[in-house]
Amino acid sequence: MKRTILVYLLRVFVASLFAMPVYWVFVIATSYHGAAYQLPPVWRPLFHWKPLVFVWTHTPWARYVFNSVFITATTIVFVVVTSAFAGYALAEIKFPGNTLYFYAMLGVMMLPQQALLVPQYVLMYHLHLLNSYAGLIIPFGASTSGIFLFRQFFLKLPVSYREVARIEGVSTLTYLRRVAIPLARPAVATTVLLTFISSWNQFQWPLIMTNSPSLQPIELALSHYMQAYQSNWRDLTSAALIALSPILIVFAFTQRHIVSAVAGGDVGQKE
Amino acid sequence: MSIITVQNLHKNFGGTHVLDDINFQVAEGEFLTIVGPSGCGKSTLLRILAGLERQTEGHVTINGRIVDHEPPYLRNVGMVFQNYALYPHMTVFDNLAFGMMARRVPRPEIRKRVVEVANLLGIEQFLAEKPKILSGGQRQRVAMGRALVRDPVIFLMDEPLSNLDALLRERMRMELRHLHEKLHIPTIYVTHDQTEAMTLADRIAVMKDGKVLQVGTPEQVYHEPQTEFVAKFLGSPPMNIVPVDIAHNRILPVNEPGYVTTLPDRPDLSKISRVSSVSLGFRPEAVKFVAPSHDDLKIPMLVDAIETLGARYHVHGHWGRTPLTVVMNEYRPLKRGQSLVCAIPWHQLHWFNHETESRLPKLATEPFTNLVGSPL
Amino acid sequence: MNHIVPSHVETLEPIKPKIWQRWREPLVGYGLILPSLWIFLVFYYGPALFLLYISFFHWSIFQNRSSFVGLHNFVILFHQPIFWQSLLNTGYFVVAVVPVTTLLAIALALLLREAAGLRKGKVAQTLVFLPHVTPVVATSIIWVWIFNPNFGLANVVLHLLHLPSLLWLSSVHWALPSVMIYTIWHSLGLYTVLFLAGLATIPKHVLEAAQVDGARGWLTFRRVLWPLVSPITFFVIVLASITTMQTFSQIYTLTGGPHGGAGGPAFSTTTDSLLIYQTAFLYLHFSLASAMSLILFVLILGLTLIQKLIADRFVFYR
Repeated sequence: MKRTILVYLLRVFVASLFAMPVYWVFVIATSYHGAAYQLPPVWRPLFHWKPLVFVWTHTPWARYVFNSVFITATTIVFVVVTSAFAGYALAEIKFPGNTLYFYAMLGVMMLPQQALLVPQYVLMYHLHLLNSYAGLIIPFGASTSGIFLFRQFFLKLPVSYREVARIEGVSTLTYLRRVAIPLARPAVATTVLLTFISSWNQFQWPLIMTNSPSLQPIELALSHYMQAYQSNWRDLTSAALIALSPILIVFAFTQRHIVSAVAGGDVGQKE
Repeated sequence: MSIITVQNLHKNFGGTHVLDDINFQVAEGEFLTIVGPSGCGKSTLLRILAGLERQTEGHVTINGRIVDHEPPYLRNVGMVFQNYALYPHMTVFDNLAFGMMARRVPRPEIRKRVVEVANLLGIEQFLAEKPKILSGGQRQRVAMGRALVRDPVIFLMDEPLSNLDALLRERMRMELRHLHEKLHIPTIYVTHDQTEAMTLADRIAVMKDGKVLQVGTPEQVYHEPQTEFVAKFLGSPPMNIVPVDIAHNRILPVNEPGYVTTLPDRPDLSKISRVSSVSLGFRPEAVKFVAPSHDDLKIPMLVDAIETLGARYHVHGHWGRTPLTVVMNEYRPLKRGQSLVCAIPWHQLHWFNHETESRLPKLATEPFTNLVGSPL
Repeated sequence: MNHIVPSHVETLEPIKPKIWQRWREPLVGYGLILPSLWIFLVFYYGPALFLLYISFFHWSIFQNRSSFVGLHNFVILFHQPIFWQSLLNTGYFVVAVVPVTTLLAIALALLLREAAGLRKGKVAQTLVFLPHVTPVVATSIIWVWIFNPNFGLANVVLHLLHLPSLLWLSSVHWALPSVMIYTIWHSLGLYTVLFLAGLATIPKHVLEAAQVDGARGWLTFRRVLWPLVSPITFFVIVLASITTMQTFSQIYTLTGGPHGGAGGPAFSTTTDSLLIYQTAFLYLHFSLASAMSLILFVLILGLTLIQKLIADRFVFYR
C-alpha cells in the first residue's frame, strides 16, 4: 500500500508542476502591484480585479478579442462545412479520383508549415489578402483532420440511410443538412473544439500576414504588448489572462472530449 | 398488364456474374417472393429494380415505362430495408414525412397523408416519438409506413422481417399478408427464409448463383420442382434425393447392389432407365408405413435415430450410404439398425437427371428423346 | 413459365444512358470536395511547388523581374555562418527535446495509467494535458517571469537544491535549454495522452498473464508493454521531431523583448524557422529565405523517411 500512496503523491506532484504556470498567470494578474518581485514567490491569489479592468479599458483589448472571436468563429464554420462535405464525398460517393483525393488531403499534413511560409506570403501578396480578415481565415478553412473525422463517421452510418433518401428523391445537400450532419454530432463537436483551439492560438500566421493593429488577433497583440510593457508583470499577466480565459473555460467543460479526440479515441462513435 | 417486367437482366461485378439472364414479371396486385441462399444475388436484383444499382445489361420496365436509366425517385417504388433505416434523430412523423418535405409537398397534405398511413398501420400513437423507444415490430411498421406514404407503384422489401424474433416474425407475416390483401399493391419480397417465401407469396422465384431457377406458385415449386436445388431448398425437412441405378425393374443406390429393391410395374418405367444417370427424389412426408399398394416404391431404410417433434416424428436413417429423413405421424417403437420399409406412392416420386440436376419431364405424358442408353 | 416476356417490350432497343445521367453522381462528389480541394491546392500544394521555383530564382516581391540563378541562392546561403549556426541550433534543439519528451511521456503514461489497485489518474492527465491547449504567447509571459534571473522561480528552485543560479534566457548557454523546458512543458501532455491511449489498448489478460508468469517491474515493461507500445513510440518520435524542427512561436516570444531581437542572445536561439522568418520578413531576402525553406522541407521529409525505414526494421507491429 506504500507503493500506492507513493504513486498518488507522485501524480499530485506532476499535475501541480504542469498546472502551476497557468495558475500563476492568475495569481500575479490579480495580486498587488509588485507581487511578481516577491521572494519567496506569492502563492495565493488575492482576487484584485482592478488591474484586469485597467488593462481592458486602457488598451483596445476588446478589439483584439473581437478579432480573435470573429476569426475563430468564421474559421470554425468554414472547417465544419468543408469537412462535412468532403468527408461525405469520400465516404459515400463513388467518383473517379476519390482515393486520390483522400491521399492528397492526408498529404497536406506532411507539408512542413514553416517551409511554406515564404511562398504563402508571396501568394497572399498577389491575391491581395495581406492585412485582411479573409487572409487570416480562408487558408484555414479546410482541415485534414476534420475531413478524416467526418469520413470515418459517415463510413459508419448504414448505407440504407442514404438509399432511403435516394428513393424518396431527397437531394444530397438536403440529406447532408437534415440527416447526415445532425447524426454526426460527435464529429461536429470534435471538429469545432479542435478548430477553436488551433484558431484561437494562432500566432505566427497573423504575425506575418498582417501589420495593421485593427486586425490583430489577441495572441499577436499580446506579443506586441509584451515588448512594450516588458516588466510590468501585473499588466502583462492580466492581458495574458484575457487571452487564456476562453481556452481555459472551454477546456474545463470539454477536457475529456478534447483529450480523447487528440488521442484518436472513440469520439467518432455514433450515438 | 404487368406492373414490373424484367428482361434479360445481367449484372457483372468485377468479372463475376452476380445476376445471369434474369426474366420475370409481376402482375397487378401480385405478391412475388424471391427466395434463395445468401449470396445468390436476390438483394442485388431488388436494388437494381429500385434503381440503387445499375444493371450491366437488360431492361427493367415499371408500369409500362423503361426505367433503366431513371434515378430511384422517378421509379416511384416503396422500399423496406432489413434494418428499417429509420433516422434515429427524427420523430416517427418526420421519418414518414421526410421525403414529402424534401419534395416540398404542402404541409397540410403531408399531415393528412401521414396520419392516414399511421392509422392504417396502427402507429398513430407513436407519431411524436423517436424510433429508439419503439419495439422491433413497431419499427417495422414505421418502415412500411414510410414506403407507403409515397403511394408507390410497387413495394420492394429486402428481408424486412429478419431482424425480428421468431414469434414476432410469424405475427408480422400475417399482418403483411393482410395488408397486401387490403391494399393490393404489387410487392416483391426478398427473403432467405423458405417458410416466409411460401406463406406470403402468390408466386415464388427461387434463385441460386445469380440465376432464377424456377418461378411459380407455391404449389408449383413445391410439387414440381424443376431442379434438385429447388426441391431441396423448399420444404422442411428437405426432399430426399438419391442417385440411383436402374436396370429393368430393379432400382438401387448407385454402386450398392446390396440395397436393391423392386420398382413397381409401370408402363413409363423404361423411359427413366434410358437416362444415363438418374436421381430419385421424394419428400419426407410422402412416405407411408401402412397399407402399401402395388403402385408404391418400397425402400428398405435402416434406422439411425428418431426425433420427436410432438405432433410428428422425424426418422433418420440410410439407404445404402445415402442418408434419408422421413416423417412419421404416429409413434411406433423403432430401434437403431432396424429395417423400415418406406412406401412412396408413384406420383409422389420426383425424377431428376443427376448430371444436369434438372427435373425429368412428366413420365406419363411426355416421351423421352435424345437420351443415351442405360449403362447396365 | 416460358412465356413471361410480354410483347409490348420485346421490340425495345437498348437505350444508352445520357451523359448527365452517368456523371450525375460523380459531379455531386466533385462539388462536395471542391470547397476543401481549392483551399488545399491554392494555399498548400501551390506554395509547395512555388517554393521549388523561387528557390532557383533571384527574385523580389517588389519587382516584377525575376531571373534564373540556378544554385546561386544556395551558394550564398552556404557562405553565411548564421545559416550553419541555425542548423546547429535546430539540431541541438531536436536532439535534446525529442528523446527527453518521449521518455518523460512514457514515464508519465506509466504513472498515470490504470493498473493493479490504481485508478487512472484522470485529473492529473487533464492537468498535464492543459499546457498543450494554451496559447503560446500568453503562457510564454509567465515563463519569462519564471526564468527571470533575479526573482524568477527557476532560480528559487536551483537555490533550494543548492545549485548556482543561472541567467537562463539571458545566457548564451542556457537560453536554448530554457526554450526547451518551455517546449517540453507545453507539448508533453499531448504525447503522454497518446501513450496512455496506446497502453489502454493492451488487453488486461496480457498483463495478467505476464504477472502470473512472475514478470515484474522492468521485465513486464520490457517484455510485455514495450513491444505493444513501440508503434506509438515511433509515431510520437516522428511527430515530435517534425514539430520541434519547426518550433517558432515560443522562440520568438521567449527570446524577443528584453533580450534584443528574437534569436538571441548572440544567435544562440536562432533556429531554422526563426532564421527563415527573419530573412524573409525582416530583411526581405525572399530568395535566400526560400532556399532555406527548401532545405528545411527536404530535411523534414528526409527525417520522416529515415525514421520510417528504421521503424520498419525494428518496430513490433501487432
